[in-house]
Amino acid sequence: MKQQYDDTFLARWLAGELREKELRDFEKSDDFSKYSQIVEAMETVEMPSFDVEENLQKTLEKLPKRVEQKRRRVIPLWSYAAAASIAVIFFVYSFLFSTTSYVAGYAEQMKFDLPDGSKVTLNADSEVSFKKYGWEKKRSLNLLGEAFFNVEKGNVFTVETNEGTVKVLGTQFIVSSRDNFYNVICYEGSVEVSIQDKPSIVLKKGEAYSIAGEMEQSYKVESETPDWLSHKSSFDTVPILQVVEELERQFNLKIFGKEYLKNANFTGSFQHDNLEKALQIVFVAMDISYTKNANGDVVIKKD
Amino acid sequence: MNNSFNSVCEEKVYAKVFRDYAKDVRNFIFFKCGNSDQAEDLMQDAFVKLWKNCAKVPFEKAKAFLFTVVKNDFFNQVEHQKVVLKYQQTKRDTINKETPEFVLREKEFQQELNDAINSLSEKQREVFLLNRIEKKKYREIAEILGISQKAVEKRMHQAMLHLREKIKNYKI
Repeated sequence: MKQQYDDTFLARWLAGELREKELRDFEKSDDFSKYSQIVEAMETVEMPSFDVEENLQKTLEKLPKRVEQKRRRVIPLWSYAAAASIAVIFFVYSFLFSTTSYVAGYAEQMKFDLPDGSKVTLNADSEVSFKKYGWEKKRSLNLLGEAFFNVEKGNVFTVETNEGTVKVLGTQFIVSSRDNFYNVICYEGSVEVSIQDKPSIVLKKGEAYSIAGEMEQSYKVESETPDWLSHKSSFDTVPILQVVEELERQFNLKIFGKEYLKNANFTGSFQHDNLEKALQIVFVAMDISYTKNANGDVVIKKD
Repeated sequence: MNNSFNSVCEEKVYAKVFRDYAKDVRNFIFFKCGNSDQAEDLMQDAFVKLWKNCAKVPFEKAKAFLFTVVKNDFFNQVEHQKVVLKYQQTKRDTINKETPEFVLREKEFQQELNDAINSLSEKQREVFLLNRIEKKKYREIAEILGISQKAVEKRMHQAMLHLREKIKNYKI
């Protein structure tokens, strides 16, 4: 008699989830009346009274007295002028607010993993910061400079910079946010780029988008990963100023006279292992005269 | 930098959390131990723990935190205690004439039911009471206990089977 029913039958009966026929058959059964009596009797049960306010007062009295905590506002890292290369900084207010950051200095690259296994490679003079707490749920980080991301599948992954926001679902892409130059290249999957006051743009594999001052471009890339990962910087119709600044970052040198640079675009690439060659490629090709001063800095000559 | 907009560390927010969940938490433990004073104490202690950890528990997670804490505290406290559940029962509104025998039989039935509920396993009992007294749906119970909805339904079914077997004196 007992196991005619499956192992959730009575639960479903109570929840009113039986099919018509099931219900009718059950109502005819010998045990039905017993089950009904149980249910009926339960309807008359009352819980011991509960006075919310009284309990609240009692609980408040049990609470330990709080020492006045000094609230330190967490200062966003990117509001610091990125003058000197800063070692990794931890703001510890409480676990909730602590931010982790990774920095690559001049002539340096840095690779690290995010808490979910996504990989980031920072180009020279770049910085990424994020909160470890709650990472899996909301994967959001801040970028100053340039980084290559290889994102694990998971919740939306967001890269915030001063210029705009890039959202992805799991893919490989690059975001560059330098002064006056914002560039996003998608190497795998798709990303959504949102910039203030502009409609958002979706980039698929091999597509890229950049803004340099007023000039906007959508373009394509052939390579599977950024060249700088293999210690080479490549440019496709990029303002010369950006190229010169990248020279500074990759070789850790100061270049003066940037104000004399004309408004021209550069297409080409240089390796990171030979400064002279790189200078030749960039300056000679663009017909820019320069000298070296006593410190080894490069000085661009006025035309 | 968007953190929880409502921090449990603020007394106003904390009080709201209390008003929202204190009764649920207390009832939950009451179903386990059958002692309303003990249940109240455990509930209050859970809220004290919440206060101590308020910086680490976002507003949206407060309910889950409370139930987790109170479950653990209960487990640690009463691991080896035998529990006897005594819940109050009201008399039903008697609109129709009820003979003394009827009333007596009803009282006997309720007593048997009470004993039968006590004899349920803790797992079956808490599911059964959460559903029958607290009127919680199986899905919510599953969430509170951290098990699947199917598991809740199985326990419910088993509880009913067990109760029917245990009770001897039914009305014809």
